[in-house]
Formats: sequence, structure tokens, C-alpha cells
Amino acid sequence: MFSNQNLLAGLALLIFGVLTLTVLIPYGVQKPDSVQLQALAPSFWPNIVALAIAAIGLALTITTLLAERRSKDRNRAPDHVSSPSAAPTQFWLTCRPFVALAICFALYFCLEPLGFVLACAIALVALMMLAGEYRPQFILPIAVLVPFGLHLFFTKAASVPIPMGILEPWLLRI
Amino acid sequence: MWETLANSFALFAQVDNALALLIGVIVGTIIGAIPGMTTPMGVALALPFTFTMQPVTGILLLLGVYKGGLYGGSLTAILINAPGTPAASCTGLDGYPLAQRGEARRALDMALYASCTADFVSNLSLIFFAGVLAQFALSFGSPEFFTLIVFSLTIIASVSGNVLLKGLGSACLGLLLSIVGLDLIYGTNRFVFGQVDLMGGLNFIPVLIGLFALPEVLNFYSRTETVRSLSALAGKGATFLDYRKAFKTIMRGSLIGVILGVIPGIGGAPAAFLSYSEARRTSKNPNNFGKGELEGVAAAEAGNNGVAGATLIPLLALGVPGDIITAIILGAFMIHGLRPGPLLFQENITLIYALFMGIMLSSIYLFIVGKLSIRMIAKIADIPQRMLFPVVLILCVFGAYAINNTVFDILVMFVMGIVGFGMLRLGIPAAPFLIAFILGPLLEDNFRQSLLLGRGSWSIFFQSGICIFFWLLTVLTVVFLIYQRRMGSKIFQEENNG
Repeated sequence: MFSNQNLLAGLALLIFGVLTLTVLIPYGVQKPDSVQLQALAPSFWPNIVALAIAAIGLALTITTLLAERRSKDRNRAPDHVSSPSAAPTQFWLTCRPFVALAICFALYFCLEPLGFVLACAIALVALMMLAGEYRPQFILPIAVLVPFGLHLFFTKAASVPIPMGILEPWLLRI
Repeated sequence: MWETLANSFALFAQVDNALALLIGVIVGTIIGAIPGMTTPMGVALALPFTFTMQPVTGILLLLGVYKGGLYGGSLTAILINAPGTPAASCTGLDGYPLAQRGEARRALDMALYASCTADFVSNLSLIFFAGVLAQFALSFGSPEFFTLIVFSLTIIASVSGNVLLKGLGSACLGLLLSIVGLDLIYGTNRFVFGQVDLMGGLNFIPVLIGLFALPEVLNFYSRTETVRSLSALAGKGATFLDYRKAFKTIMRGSLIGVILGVIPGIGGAPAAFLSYSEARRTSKNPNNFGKGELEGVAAAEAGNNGVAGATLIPLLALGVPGDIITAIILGAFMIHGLRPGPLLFQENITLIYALFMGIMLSSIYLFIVGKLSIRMIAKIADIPQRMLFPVVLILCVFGAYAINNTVFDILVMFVMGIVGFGMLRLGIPAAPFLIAFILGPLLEDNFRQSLLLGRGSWSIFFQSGICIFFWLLTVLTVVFLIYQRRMGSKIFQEENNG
């Protein structure tokens, strides 16, 4: 598990570093007409950092592979075998963060049309149910009071104009 | 001098400041006490609430959260052996056995007394040494600042976790993200890709919340909730005699905390463990340590809290954050248009003194809040996470929006949340990312300014004594850290083999 994690991290860094050097910097860093000194060029620092990322990724990959080889020589026992009965729960637990992320992005797109209070209230209900809380006597008060309380704090105490969306006529009266 | 002090007192002596500090200490203590909620996360969540406050009020609120969080971590460490902070794990070594023996109240009281005493000693050191260091730093130019920031980046090694390469990779990702926006010398775009919102660079707060708060929330969804049972707050409290017996240990731990706190990157955990091992070494009953020795609780808490004020010395005097929390506080200064460092001592000395006054008051608040809230906080820490984490997520959404009143920052926060969650899953630490993200622009700006000053000559980085001093210090620190890591892995291997 630990070495797999290191290997994945190493490969991810290596790929990202190479992509930054070959795609992101050439297309994302605008070049000025003339540069007096290479070290002052806008692309100098990004190139150094991207090179470092790729080098670190490569070093991490190689050291992990070498360590893996050494440990395999010593111990050839299988890493871990999961029990078949735990599989569905494990699958759901793996999926849950992504469902939570999907709710987050749905919330992002609803914030302006629905308004913060309503969108956050709906998201809170969804997130609490996803987390395993199904009792309405807890869910509903929290879903109403938390976004409404935060709305009041930011609009009244901190003077931050929070988008009110379709609830604007009611919220403006408060 | 007296006029400055009077002005500072006038700036400090406002109801808002006293209230913000009190709220900060309460919130910090609660957050520190909840396993899974970290003090940096608490400071990050509190940050958006400070935008519309006066600079002193806002910064005092964050300092209150910081100090409360340091103490709060010890509560659950003692009661249920679930430390709220890494440093509090040392407190649990003796605190939890004491709680199991029915002496939870005594352990909690001793933790509070040691925390407050160490905090007070640490605050005094801040007041006496920050100004002296700032005076010295006035002679710094761009090359000196560049070498200082290079030295500061060595703190990444100590927040890198088990694998140093991952920490370095994380720091490089942070440096890369800090480049986004307009180039200051040529005015050209870097990684903007036609997005107007990116031209000013990425805002610090959505990145911070995305990296620290969101991954914890998402990670909660990937595991089953653990049901915790609280030990009863049984037994009598600590007496004055207990405190007097442990006083020497507390003072020693406080000084260890102060010394380690001044060095960027050391943090509370090593200070707590060093103080603990010193207490054990000099104790008449070393065998009792780890089995419920009250002096062990005092030593751990004194070391942990002795760091609090001292980490602010390099922050205020040099503008260099000593750890992740002071990095967030540095961000708070910047949001309020202030730049910590020697110039702050010249241009805003009234603000500095006002902060010092607030920091002294925080020790008193810590004592009062700690004394009154032990029972209540123990209950709050038991709020089911299935309700707590969704609420935290909504708090993040409001907080990210409030910075610039734009939903784009919420998108940045969610994207950084995905990055942070990916990093968490791959075991890549987030702290180096954030430290590099904050120090990145300073590093690049001072590097380029130095080269402009030196007309392209790289020798400018080795011309002054201060530059050479920081290069030497960097090399020594790196060598020490490599040696320390090698020794650590050797011991680990020997333990595994033996």
C-alpha cells in the first residue's frame, strides 16, 4: 500500500512535470519581445520549478521501485487480500467522496441562480444524507439555520453582498 | 516611547478586540478538541470572518484560534486518547493513563496550568526579542531576503512527513501555482489561459481552504464513522502543590518551546517530546512516565505551548512564517495591507504593541476559557462527524466567496480541494505546498530584483556577510535534516528487524 502510494505519487509528479515543460509553459507563459537576461525571463522560474517537479517525480519513482525490489527479495508474501463480503461497503466508501464532490460542483452552479441560502440548504441535506444522517429532526433545522445564520452574519455584520437568488424578495425584508 | 505605548493601548483597548480574542480562544479550543479538525483548519476557516474587521481585531481573532487550538488538542488526548493536534499526542502519553485511573480532572487542570504558564513565557520572549531581530533585519536588501527565504524553505523538510521527496514535490507544486498571474517585470501573462480572474494570481484563501479543509471533509466520506465513548470527567482537580512540584519542569519546557519555536519549521510536536524526554531524564520517578505521571502532562503541554509566542518572532521581525499557522497569519496581514518584517516595526509600531497587549491577554483568556469550558468542550467534541463535516463544507463556501465576492474563488477552492484530496490519497503533504505558495512570490521577486541590482551577476547572492550566513545556515540545516532522517529510518529498520 505504502510503496504503491509512493510509486503513484512519483509517476504523477513526473508526468505533471513533463506536461508543464512541454505543454503548459510553451502555451501558458507569454514571451516578451526582448529579454535582456535569461534569468529574468517570465519563463525562467516556471521552467526551473517544472524541471524540479519532473526530477523529484523521477527520483521518487526510481527509489520506490528499488525499495520494492529489495523488499520483494526479502518477503514474497502477498500484500493484502480483501474479504469478498467487505467489497460492496468498500466500493460505496470509495465512491462517496466523488458523490460529495459532485454535490459540491452542483452547488457551485446553483449558487447564483438559487441563491446561497437555498442552494446551501439543499446541499446540506444531500451531504448529511450521504454521510449517513437520515433523521429529519436533525437534518432540517441544521439545513435551514446554518446557511441562514451565515447569510445573516455576512450580509449584516460583515457587509458582504451574498447572492440571494430566488429568495431575494423574502431575504431583503429581514 | 510612552506616547507610542499610549497610542497602542488606545488601539488595543476596544471591546471588539477583547471580544474577538475571546471568541478566537473559545473557537480554537473547541476545534483543537475535535479529532479530525486541526488548528490550521480552524485558523483557515476563521480567516474570512476577519476581512471586514480592523487589522488588530482580525489578527487577534486568528491568534486566539491558534492559542486555543494548541490547548484544545490536549483535551481529547487526555480524555479519549485521540489527540486533536500532533503535539498533543505527547500529552496523551501520561494524560490518558491518568484519565483511566479516574484522575482526568487532575490531568486536565495540570495541562491547563502548564499551557498558560508556557504561553505567558513565550509571549514575553516575543515581546523582548522580536524588536531586536527586526532592528537587525533593517540592513537586509533583496539578496539577503532571497537567501533568508531559501533558508526558510528548509522548514519544508520538517513538514514533509515520512518521505522527503514527496514534501519537496509538494513544495514545487506550490511554487508553480504561485507563478499564476501577470509577470511583474515584463507585464506578460503566465498560466492565465485567457481567464481574467487569473490575471491577479490565485487568492490565498480559496487555495488554503481547498487544501486543508476540503480534503478532510472528502476523506471523511471515504471511511466509516467511528463512535467514540467519553471518559467521565472524574476525580479531583490539580492542587497548587501539584503545580509547584511541576513548576521547574514547566519552566524548562517553556524555554525549550521558546528556543525551538524561534527556529522556522520545528513546531510544537518536537518541542513537546523534547520537553517530555528532559522531564523524564531529570525526574526522580522516570519509570512512572508513560503510566500516568502528572509531571509528564506538564512537560508535554509546556513544550507545546512554549512554541506559540516564539513562532511569531520570525514572522513579525523578518516576515518569515515559522510554521503552517503563522503562514496563514502572514496571509491575514497581507489581506489587511500589512507586510510583516522590519519595516512593520518602523511604520506600524503601534499596531505591533497593540498585538503584544492582545497576546498577553490571550494567556489570561486561555486560563479562564480552559477552566470554565472543560465539561462543555468535552461534549462538543462528541458531535457526530456526519453532521459536523457537511456544515464545515458550507462554511468553506461562504468563506471562500467573502474574499472578493466572486463565485470564481469557490471554484478555485473546489479544484484545490480535489488537488488536496488527491495529495492526501497519494500521501503527499499539503503543508509544504502552502508554505511554498506563500513564499514563492517573495522568493522569485527578490531573486529577480537581486539580479537586476547585480546587473545579471550571480555573485550578488554571495557578496554580503548576511547572505553567506544564511547560505551556511541553509546548508547546515539541510545536512542536519538529512542526518536526522537517516538516523530515524535506521532506528525504524532496527526496530522492524529486532
